[in-house]
Amino acid sequence: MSKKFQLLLMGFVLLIISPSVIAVELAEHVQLHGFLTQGAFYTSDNNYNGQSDDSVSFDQTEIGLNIFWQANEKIDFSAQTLYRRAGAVENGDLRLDYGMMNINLFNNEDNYFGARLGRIKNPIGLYNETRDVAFTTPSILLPQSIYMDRSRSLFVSSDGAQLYSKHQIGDGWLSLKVNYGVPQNDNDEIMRTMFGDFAQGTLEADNAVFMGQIKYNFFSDKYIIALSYADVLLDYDTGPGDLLAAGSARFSPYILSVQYNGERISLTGEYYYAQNEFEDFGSYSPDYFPVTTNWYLQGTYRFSHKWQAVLRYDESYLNEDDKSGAIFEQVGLPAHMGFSKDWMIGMRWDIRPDLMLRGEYHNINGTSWLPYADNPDRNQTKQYWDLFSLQMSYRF
Amino acid sequence: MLKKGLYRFFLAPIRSLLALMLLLFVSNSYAVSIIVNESVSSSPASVKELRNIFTLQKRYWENGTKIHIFVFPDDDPLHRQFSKTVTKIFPHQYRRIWDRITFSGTGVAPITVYNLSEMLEKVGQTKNSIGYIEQPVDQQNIKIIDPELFQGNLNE
Repeated sequence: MSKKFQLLLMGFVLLIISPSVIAVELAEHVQLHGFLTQGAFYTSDNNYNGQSDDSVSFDQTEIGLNIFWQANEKIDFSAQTLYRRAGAVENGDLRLDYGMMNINLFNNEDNYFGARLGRIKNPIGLYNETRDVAFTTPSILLPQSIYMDRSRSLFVSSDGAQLYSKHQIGDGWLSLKVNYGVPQNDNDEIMRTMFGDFAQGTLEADNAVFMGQIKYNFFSDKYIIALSYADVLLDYDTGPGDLLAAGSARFSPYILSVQYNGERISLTGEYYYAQNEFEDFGSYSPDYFPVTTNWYLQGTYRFSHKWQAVLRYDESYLNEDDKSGAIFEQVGLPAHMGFSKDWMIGMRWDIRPDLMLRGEYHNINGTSWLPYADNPDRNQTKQYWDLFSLQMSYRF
Repeated sequence: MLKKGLYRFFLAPIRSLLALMLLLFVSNSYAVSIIVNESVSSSPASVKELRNIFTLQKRYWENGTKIHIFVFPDDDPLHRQFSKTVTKIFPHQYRRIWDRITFSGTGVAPITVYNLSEMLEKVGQTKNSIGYIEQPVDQQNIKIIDPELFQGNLNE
């Protein structure tokens, strides 16, 4: 057991015996919130969030602290800092997760219009805006078909502007969010997945990109239907002695999300369809235009307000016309990089409203979303693997 | 004779049992009163409006002032009663909506209070605020909203 983990464990014990306090109100119009999440991972083969292959890795820590200031009736400011460690993919960086000014441009009983400026969260699918906050996600690992950890930094937040509106229609609200901004540009995972070790340059979005969502929620989120869209263009700048040319990669996914929330049962399905373009990388990487199709179905059952179980099937194909991954085999890589089929079952225990413990088991066929940083030698990876995970989270 | 025996030994105990159950049921069920600060001039007039306020869809009163909300903890019996029977939204739905807003910087979740006196104190002191209590009380600076508005048709 590492020193760091013992410290975290002590921290949690202190939290458990401390009186429960949700939300800190600094002043009349200022609020402070935060969360602390620690995970443990064990895999039969392949590494996830650290060296988890046949050993236990504690390399998943997420600590967030946010502040919200209502400056006046029309304007508010908010910011969240995030410390995040996720295996070799992210080594404990402190980042500004969001930091924005919100202006309420117009509202009446049934219509709201507003704008957010600064570092804004991107509305992709049902979970992206709060994907690092354990309390708001259905499982320890988000369904990787839609919320690939590899492309997390590309979609998590952008520097730019968001226009939003919502309209009351019948017993529900129709909402629209349009984001235009420059993404975080920490795209090493994407680049390594595309080119492995022989890419010497950097892959970045030089210009602002578009991401948006239209959503209708009926009866206060009892039924949700949403369509998200993103159009992201990344340019490759070659490095010294690079075999690749200065090409570009374009991802334009559509995501359809449907959710039902009953008293005991929640059912969720999301479908991802993306046209991808990899162009002008030179003779070592011929132009390639794969269509990616991913989806998952998930059911949650609440036994009580403290206990719930979740079951999910999650499937991804990097190229719909090559479901078996033959293209990877042609270049000497394992074919199972082309797909993933993941059965998951988990339990969540809400010990207190502000303290939660959950565990889950994954039975996985394929390695398409396996992080590169934790598994640099793809030929060492196995097609069939199991993943066990435990996670504890506290929030205030 | 037979009828009388049947009544004494069979029907009468059942009747007493039913009466006892009814009594227990009544004493165990909570009444919920919606309260607002006296500064609120246009109190919510329907379940739908109440639901819009507590799910943070409606954030301003009619005069343009921002609404402040106070609630009891998620596992508090009165909160569960308020959620399920008054607004017809399960506590877990409220929590999911509030958490997403809190941790995406898009608003202020309701502030949690831990007992009746704290609820009365906060709603009494905070302009443009709303909360709920179990039994109507007579308190300075606080208005109780006519519970008739929130009974009957929930689609109102």
